[in-house]
Amino acid sequence: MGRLFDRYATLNQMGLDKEDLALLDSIEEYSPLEEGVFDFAEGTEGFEEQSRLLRVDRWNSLLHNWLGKMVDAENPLREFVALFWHHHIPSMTGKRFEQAQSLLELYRRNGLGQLRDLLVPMSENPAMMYFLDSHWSHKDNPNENFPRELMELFTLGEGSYTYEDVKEASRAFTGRRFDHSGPPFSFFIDETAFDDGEKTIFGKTGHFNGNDVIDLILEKHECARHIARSLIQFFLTEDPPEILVEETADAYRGSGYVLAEALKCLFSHPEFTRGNHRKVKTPVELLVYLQRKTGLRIKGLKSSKNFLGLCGQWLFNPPNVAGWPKGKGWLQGQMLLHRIFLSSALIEVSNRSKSRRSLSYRIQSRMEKPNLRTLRYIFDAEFDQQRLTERLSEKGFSLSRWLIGMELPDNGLLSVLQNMEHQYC
Amino acid sequence: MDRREFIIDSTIIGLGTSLALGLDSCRHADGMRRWEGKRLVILQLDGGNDGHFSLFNRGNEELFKARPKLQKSAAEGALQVGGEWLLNRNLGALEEFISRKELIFLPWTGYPKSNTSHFKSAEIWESGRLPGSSTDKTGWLGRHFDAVGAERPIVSLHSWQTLFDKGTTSRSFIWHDDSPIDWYDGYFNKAKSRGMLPLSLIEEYETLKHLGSLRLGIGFSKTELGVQFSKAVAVIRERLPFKAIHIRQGGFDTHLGQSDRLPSLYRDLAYNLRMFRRSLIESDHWKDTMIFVYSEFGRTLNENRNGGTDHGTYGLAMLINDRQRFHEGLILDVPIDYRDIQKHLIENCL
Repeated sequence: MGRLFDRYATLNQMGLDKEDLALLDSIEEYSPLEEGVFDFAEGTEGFEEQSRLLRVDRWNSLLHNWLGKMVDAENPLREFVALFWHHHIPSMTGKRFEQAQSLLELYRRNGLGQLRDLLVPMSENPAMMYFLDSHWSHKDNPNENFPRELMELFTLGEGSYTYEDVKEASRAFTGRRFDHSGPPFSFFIDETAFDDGEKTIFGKTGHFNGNDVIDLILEKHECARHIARSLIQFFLTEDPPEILVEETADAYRGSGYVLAEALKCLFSHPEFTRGNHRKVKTPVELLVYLQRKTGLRIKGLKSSKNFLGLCGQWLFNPPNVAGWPKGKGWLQGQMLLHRIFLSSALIEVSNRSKSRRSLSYRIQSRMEKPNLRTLRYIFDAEFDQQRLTERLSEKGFSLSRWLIGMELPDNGLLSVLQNMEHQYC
Repeated sequence: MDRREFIIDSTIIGLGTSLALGLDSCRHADGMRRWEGKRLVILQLDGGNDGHFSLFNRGNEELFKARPKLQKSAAEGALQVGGEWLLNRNLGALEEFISRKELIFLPWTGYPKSNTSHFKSAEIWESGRLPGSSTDKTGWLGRHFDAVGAERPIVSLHSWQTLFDKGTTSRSFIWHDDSPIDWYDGYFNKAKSRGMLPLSLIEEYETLKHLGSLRLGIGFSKTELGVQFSKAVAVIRERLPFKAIHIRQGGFDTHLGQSDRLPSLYRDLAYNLRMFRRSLIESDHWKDTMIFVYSEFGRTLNENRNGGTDHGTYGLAMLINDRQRFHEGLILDVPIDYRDIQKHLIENCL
């Protein structure tokens, strides 16, 4: 039984059925994410209430809008590349909403461009500086946390640097501070705390600062290889073929570390188009895919967060600096059960009444079993079965072919969603 | 073969099978096997615990000179535990183990040419191998259980990915969050009746449902560590067939503000260990339970300007209730290769 979307299997995670390379020619222009989701017109009572909630819940609304772009954009590649960077260079939220917001916008704005234009601002971002303790590093006792993770996890990988390189690089990253008083949390160097002495890193000696360390890292081919591998693990398979890693790395480095060029090489490579690789969908991919393919739409600000959290992924709250699990690491324990059954549950509890105080909602919830009542409270979604049926009819596909790329004897929506194949792309 | 011979043969085979499984591993009415033998609890302190802050020798002048502020903080109210050795007062609850000779401190546990990367060092500990010695991604416990033919003998009570329980055939069971799965009973039963679910998923669901119904241990702290210990008590009391239980406590990567961060972690650690002991004594399982506490590395001797320390090499490990006695005294003050401890655990505790 072959998969339907052989050429597009990897981009299945985005729920697309377009020509792969066309995505790179039609990248949507960058624009910042909106913070608010307003269901009510200005001046109404509902608008006032919602404004109040959004001031309290800005972060949830931002994430809701980001995920919304992945679902609704005709070409969501920019958002998925930002998600890739969040996986590859994870961070927590920092102390203020604007700190994580600026990091997310950096990944969205610069994610497809040059790597240096991503790494330098990332190293100056307050959320990242809080996450890896680099806002306190002083020439008398340089902090090794950020430079180590920069080399080990974000750019070069284990074995491509020495402990001496980390120690010397930590001297170069001293004195970095930001204005804690409020947005925009401007970055600056405290010259009294910065070690301006000579350092030797990767065999080169000079009066290096943090940006110079990044330039030294970019001179090493290991950087291209490490990021290419991570890119392929995100877009194709957790176990990338070495030839694909090398060729993508060559294209990446050859272009001056422009990610769009690496993606062009990747999307046109025979290993990619052959369609015999697959990977486990991350929770974000599972949720986005469900919405793009079935027409289900998450409405509640916290509904996406609840879904992702139950499946094991709290965005901007990684388990550690290495980020989230890969592959079958997602398919275990309660996470697996939520992944298998929550999509079905979302379909069933969708289309609830807007107000939980309304008579129709109260009647509906009283007639339901307690578990569905709870789920209906937690998740707010809309689903149009008729629209899905019409779409399938246009495409000429059965539901199982449409959702998981293969025919199943039972084409009921819930049965197809509970099939293990739905966990993969 | 006639009918009589068939019945006799079947009876013999049936009895033989039951005996082979062992009286301490029989299936109960709820379908789950039970285990009455020894258990190992592995408690991982994530991030690299500063052993010098936990346990130190008051006569170690080099230590006090290299980290005057940190060690002054560690020494405040510290408990004398043996000779010149002092225990951080926030670990005071461990006195219950010390006074009964149930605890061995191993302050210099590690391996040669230490790696200061969290992930690499954790991998070295979890695989039980030094870099370059093998390419298979298996863990020391996983390989042991492969060898003895146990399938899912380990339960991990946290969500982080580890290597130590991975074997070629054996794998751990994850029970880390308390989100309800009975929401899905209807879907599960329907899919199961239609034969749509693989056996492994059915087992996962039914086991998690059973675990979710257990009465957890009481009296533990409300932290993540306390919850894990309360679940461990439930697993042991119910005699579930998990021979090893993996618990983690995070937060030990103290690059800054160490004097502020470690005390509460130590109090939580010592308190929950003590409650764990008392709970298992009550259920008469303490005699068969051993605890191994370790961290992927220690910290630097020198304190940094931010009141913290950086990644070091050898660190503090503890063996609790080791009845086969890796060491006769309280403190083994020499460098220990972590693999020797793992070997001791496999030979004597599993």
